[in-house]
Amino acid sequence: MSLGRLAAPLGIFTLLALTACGGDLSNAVFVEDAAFRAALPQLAVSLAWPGGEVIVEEPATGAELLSLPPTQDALVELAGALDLLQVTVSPALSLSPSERGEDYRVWGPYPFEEAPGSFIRLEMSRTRDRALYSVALQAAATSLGPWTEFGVGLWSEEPLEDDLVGELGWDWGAFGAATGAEAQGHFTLAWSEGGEHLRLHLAEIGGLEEATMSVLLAEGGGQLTTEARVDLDDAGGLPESLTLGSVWDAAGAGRGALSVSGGDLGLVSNTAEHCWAADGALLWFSDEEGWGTTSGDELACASPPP
Amino acid sequence: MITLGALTLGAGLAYAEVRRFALIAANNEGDPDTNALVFAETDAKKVQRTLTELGGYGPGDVWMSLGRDRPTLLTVFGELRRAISDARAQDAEAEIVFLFYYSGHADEQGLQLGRTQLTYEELERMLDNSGADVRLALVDGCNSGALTRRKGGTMAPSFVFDVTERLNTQGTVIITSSTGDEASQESDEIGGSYFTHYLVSGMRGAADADGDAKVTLSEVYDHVYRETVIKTANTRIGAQHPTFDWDLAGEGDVVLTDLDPATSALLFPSSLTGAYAVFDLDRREFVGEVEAGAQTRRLAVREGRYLVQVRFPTHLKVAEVRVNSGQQLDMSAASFRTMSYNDDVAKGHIQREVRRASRPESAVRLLVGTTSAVQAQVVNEVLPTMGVGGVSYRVDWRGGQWLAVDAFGGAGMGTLTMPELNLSVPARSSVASVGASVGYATRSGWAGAQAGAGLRVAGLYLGRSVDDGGAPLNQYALALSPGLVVWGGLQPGRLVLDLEIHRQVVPYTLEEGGSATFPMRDVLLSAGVRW
Repeated sequence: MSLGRLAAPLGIFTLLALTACGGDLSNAVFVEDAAFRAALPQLAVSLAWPGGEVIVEEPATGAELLSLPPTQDALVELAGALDLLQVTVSPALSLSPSERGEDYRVWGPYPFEEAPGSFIRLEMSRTRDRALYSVALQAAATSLGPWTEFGVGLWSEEPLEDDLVGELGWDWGAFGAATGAEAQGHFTLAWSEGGEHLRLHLAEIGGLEEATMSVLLAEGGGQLTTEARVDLDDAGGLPESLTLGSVWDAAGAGRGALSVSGGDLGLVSNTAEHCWAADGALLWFSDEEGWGTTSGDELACASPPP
Repeated sequence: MITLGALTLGAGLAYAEVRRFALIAANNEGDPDTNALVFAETDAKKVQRTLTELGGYGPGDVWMSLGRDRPTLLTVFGELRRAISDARAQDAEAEIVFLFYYSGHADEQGLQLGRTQLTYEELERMLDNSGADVRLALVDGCNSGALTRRKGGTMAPSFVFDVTERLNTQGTVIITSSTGDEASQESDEIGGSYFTHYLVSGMRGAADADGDAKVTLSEVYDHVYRETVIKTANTRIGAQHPTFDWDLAGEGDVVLTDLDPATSALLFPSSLTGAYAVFDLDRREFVGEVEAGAQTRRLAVREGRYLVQVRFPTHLKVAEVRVNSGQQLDMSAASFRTMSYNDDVAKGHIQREVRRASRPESAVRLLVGTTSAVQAQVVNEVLPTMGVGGVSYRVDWRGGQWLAVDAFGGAGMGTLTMPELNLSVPARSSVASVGASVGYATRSGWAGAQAGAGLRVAGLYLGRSVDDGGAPLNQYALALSPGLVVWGGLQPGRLVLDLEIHRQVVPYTLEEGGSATFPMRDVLLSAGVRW
């Protein structure tokens, strides 16, 4: 037998060998797991009030018309929404997907820390070009289901609206129906890339009929716009419309304008303006209708009107 | 007149006891450039049986080295020399005879024992250092006359000895099957070499020219020379001439075999004519050939069934006989029947042996070892090392070429660590491989040590199951993988013990943008048998 005679068939066989293969033995699936995780919204935004806790100095009358307390309350609401989002998706950052597909991953079921006894299942999918991700949150009272969708999110490389790239809707009613928890209302949280611009829409939560808060953070300070329908006097009557616009700087000093109208007020409306120092000290307060006591001097305000 | 000296068998000796020792060596294999012989080792067995049945050699006094290499032969010789020394120590007066027989390839330098060589100089030293009083060397190999030529040996029709029954001889006799530049020929017709065929025939009685039932060295040489030259005269290679060399002091002839009347034998009375070939039906070999006519010839055989043939140009006459223990069976009373050569039973047996001997050597081995990626990063991040087991079949040609197929499979466990992803997950890996390889092997050395290298192509299945607590991840890859193979090991007797290493290229991209291939390595220990 001559190896020379075998050279040609061996060469052909080797060429075939070098081209004939199949299957998948790569770690790409783990890389993709990481890509999905990285795409989950993780908004590391500090919504703590600059300068820490402040003691709001109130005028003799019209304290309910001050801008600083509702501004801080709005930031707390927003922070709560962000925390809730973080608590909901954080297990997906540490758990392996329970289902994998080329353009989707499923995590869970895993216990929902925010509502003990309930379970969450998170489905995440993306478009083939990876430009648009969506997430569906499902809840159940057991890890076996049945599953009810209570949250839907969508985010993109390109802004969906203004500079907002992501949006997540959360239906507490559906969650409560699925898990037996006492929950109602729903909210929608939208965010910009990096989380400097947040918008939270609340509905039917507590005494709040509807509210939309939008905060824009920049250089340690921020700007807030809130529109809400709320029963201000909590008398069970018609809810009033409330509009709040406020700005503050990195030290916490700022000013705001709060307008109330409608509801039990009928045709009456009032707008109050308020500016404050970094420690919350009242620098100026005035309202159009004179429900409160004008105090201080507008010239002491550090910021222009929002 | 040439006097070699005197040596008789034990019966009736007045002066000293004779102890006989023999070393029978043979190897069908020689230099890779030569064709394998078919009958060298079976010829050696015939000589061994003849010596023990008729030559006064005890079963434990005949050492064998068949199909073995030079180191093995020297080891066996060392044991034999110790036995001679012990015999000398037991009886200082004993006359000790040492007979060395070799059948196999040879050239002008020495005997070819497989791929090793025992030079004629070493052979002479063996004879000289054996410690025996009388050293006989019967060498059946091509160009073996170079051995006698070294000492002025002669190619002659016969030599004549004084015949006495004295044991006062010392010295060496060497007989070779051919001259220094002749080939020694095997014959498919007689199932052996011409030289040994007539040597055995002669020792069994065909050479007993004087009818005294004692076959002497001179009778045997005369018989072997005559028959070998005549029977090879018309072969394609041409006539083959045995040679001899002697260096004996003393008187008398050397009696090789004693055809005791009590020994079973076939008798060929003078009333018969022609050459009678005797085929042992039980051992399936020719045991001798007798030229009948001038006087009654006797061929000593063991108890058994025999086919006795007389050959004619167009047909055979065949008689099947049974010889009982101690029986002297007169063949003139046997019933011969005419038979065509195509129906020759003996020929059929021999041709089967020829075909068997012509086949390359095969070996089946069990494999155990490991399979892993060569790069540690691949082992750590993709595919843990696997333990494997399987089987291999290899065919070795005498020219050194070999062809092998193998199949093995196995599994492994480990933890995949992916630093870039900050991930560690337990994984099980599995492999199945079916490969074919060709290459060249070295000559076998000491203890059959041999190594080889070649090309290998394998059909490869690689799989892994990753258990990261989430969705079960079962992955696999299929590939035709080219590569190299090297192996080395020992072949003691019929056993094969090898270490075999495969280096394969797997045409597979493990990561996007990475290399289009990655190397794998199989490290396998194997044990098996060859035939």
